[in-house]
Amino acid sequence: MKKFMNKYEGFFFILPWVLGFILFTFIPLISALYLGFTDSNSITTPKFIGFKNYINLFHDNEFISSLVVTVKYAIFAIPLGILSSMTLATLLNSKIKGVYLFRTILYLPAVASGVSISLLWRWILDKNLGLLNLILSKVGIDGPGWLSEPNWVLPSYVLIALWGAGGGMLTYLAGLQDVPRSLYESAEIDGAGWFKKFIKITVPMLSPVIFYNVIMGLVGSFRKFSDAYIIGGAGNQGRFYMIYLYENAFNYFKMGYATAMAWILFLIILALSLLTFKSSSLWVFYNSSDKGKGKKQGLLHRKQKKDGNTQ
Amino acid sequence: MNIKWPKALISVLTIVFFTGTLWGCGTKNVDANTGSAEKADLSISTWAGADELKQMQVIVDKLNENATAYKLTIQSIPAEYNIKIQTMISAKQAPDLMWLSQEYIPMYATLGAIEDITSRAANDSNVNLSNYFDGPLDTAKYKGKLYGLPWISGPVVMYYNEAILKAAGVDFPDGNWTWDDFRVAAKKTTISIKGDGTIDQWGTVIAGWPPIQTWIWAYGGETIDKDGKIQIDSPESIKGLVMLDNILNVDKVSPSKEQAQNIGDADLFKSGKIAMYFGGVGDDLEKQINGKFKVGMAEIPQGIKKTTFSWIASTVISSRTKNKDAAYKALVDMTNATFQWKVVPPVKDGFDMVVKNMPEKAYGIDVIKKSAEYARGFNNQEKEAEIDNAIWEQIYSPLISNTKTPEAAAKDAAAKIKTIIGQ
Repeated sequence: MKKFMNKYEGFFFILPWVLGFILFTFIPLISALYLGFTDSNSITTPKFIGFKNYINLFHDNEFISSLVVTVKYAIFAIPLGILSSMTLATLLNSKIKGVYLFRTILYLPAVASGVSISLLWRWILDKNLGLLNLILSKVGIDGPGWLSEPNWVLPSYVLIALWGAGGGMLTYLAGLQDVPRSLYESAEIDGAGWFKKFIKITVPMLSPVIFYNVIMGLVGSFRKFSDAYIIGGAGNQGRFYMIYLYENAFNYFKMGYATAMAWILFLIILALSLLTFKSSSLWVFYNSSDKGKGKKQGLLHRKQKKDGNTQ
Repeated sequence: MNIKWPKALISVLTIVFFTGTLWGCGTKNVDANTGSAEKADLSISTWAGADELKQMQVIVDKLNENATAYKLTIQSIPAEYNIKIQTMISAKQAPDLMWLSQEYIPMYATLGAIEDITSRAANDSNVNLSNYFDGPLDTAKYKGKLYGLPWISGPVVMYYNEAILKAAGVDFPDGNWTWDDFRVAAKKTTISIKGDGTIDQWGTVIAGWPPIQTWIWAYGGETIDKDGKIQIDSPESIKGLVMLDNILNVDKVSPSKEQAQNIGDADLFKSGKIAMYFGGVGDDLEKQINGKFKVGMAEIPQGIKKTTFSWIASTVISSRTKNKDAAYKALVDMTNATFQWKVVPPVKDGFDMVVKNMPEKAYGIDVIKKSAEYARGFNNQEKEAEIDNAIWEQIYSPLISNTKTPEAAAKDAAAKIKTIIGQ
């Protein structure tokens, strides 16, 4: 018995997690896979209908529209979000007075409740009574109907996303702490200016953090829900993928259809994530990994060669 | 050092945790038929919360004291009620009795989730179906069968700010106003109070409420008729939509949808910025206005006939209840007791309690009585939620934002509804 316990005690310790995973993740996942092939309304016994849900989805204009809205949002929100977070982090990495206060203030949106923020933004973006158009009117600009004119709905959501850039900023700040000062010092000796240092040192050294934020941004953009659920938007431009999925599952009793949508979403996120991972060898620089070592050595070698200091 | 005891402790904790998890996932095996003291334990779900829940608890306590067949327990679900009910039904954990808003009855009836009470109600001396107004009772029926008993029917009426109408030289509505009369009054009361040209007082507020059927029905139209035929693009329906379009986009007598959403259309009226507001007869306006201005109440304007939408809810029995007799008895007792509580009960002899329970509504009791007579619900369909969404997206929202003509909107909505109901 003692021998048995010694051999397998590790398995017993992880057993609760394994069982939890099987019961609450693996089995629901397989059930969901099956549900996607049924006409489930979540109440009566589901009937197997093969690929009908998947076929119907691609003939459903509202599905296509919600997918297009989500993709458009991701195309703009992810790069702009990364750019703004990184810019903020770079600015707040300098030794300026009250830097901790600025960091705290800029991080606040990340800890505020999603629903209250959404309500706040609905007011800010109001055409007639909103803060944004009030400010614009002070400089002589007649602000648009941010949420009432279909063409302005997507920019409004991108704006809201950018307002939350403080959340991403924290990861870049952490990344910036890891950039060796020596790289900047040697670049300065070579006469590199602020911009060159940023492009040639900061960005490559932060590339693992950028990579992480691209992946998280992809997942977040495609799963966008709470603010869109509250804010909405004219002409279906605020109806993101997850909103339409939710409507089908819980408003229209089309659980099978909604589950099929969830699987398509999973495949989209999986494909985009794999693409990003695959492309990472071209642009992500790992300071300490074997994969990155070659590149790092190459960079140093090039630098040393340029300095006329090859070994 | 002996390190065996921490391992033993962790092993015990692991077993306790694991057993606890499985225990928690298990189903309680309680005999609902018998319960305590030979009464059937029954649950009733409600969206009531806070004060409303306390009032309901008093009613339920009283019923439990007198009942011999059941003991009712309230299951309060104040948020996301419909989704939680759907999930409970799906998990076969539905409450024995449930409050349901009118539009959900056909869907749950079709899915067999709620009990058909047609024959029980017809043969029950405690239920007087002829005492019900037709409008509310129709919403509890689907394909000729009765699935629940309505307990509230709140017709939409027109509240007005007497000071604004007086200042604009508009006579108070007398119950015979047409929608054209309404347009004249609304135009006169849509003005810039500050005098800087910016409109800050409006004739009315229409931003998604009342339902678009208000105008469609007024001119003899329907969205879908009782036989399930799509009528939203009929000439009568379009006439109603044209009237709404005129109010919104020709006369421009309503604030924007964003303004109404951000401030709240009822709050706009309560703040004295709206001359005429469409609200339910039970809306708590008078107390909140608290004498800031005098409120009047009138029947809503008419087209070719008098009609108004009524917010109706019923109590239904879950088809999975283990004691159907007791559940039916509880349904009837609870419904009859609710007639003495909720404003307005859907029955013809229920008006005495309106003034008793909401004395601030005494001034409008005649209007409430008249409106209740012709108030009605939708011709609800199995896919009512999808249809409502299509009507909002294809007609109401585009008309509010002035992006479609009524004719085009009606055509688009008809096409969309056709695909939903598979016609």
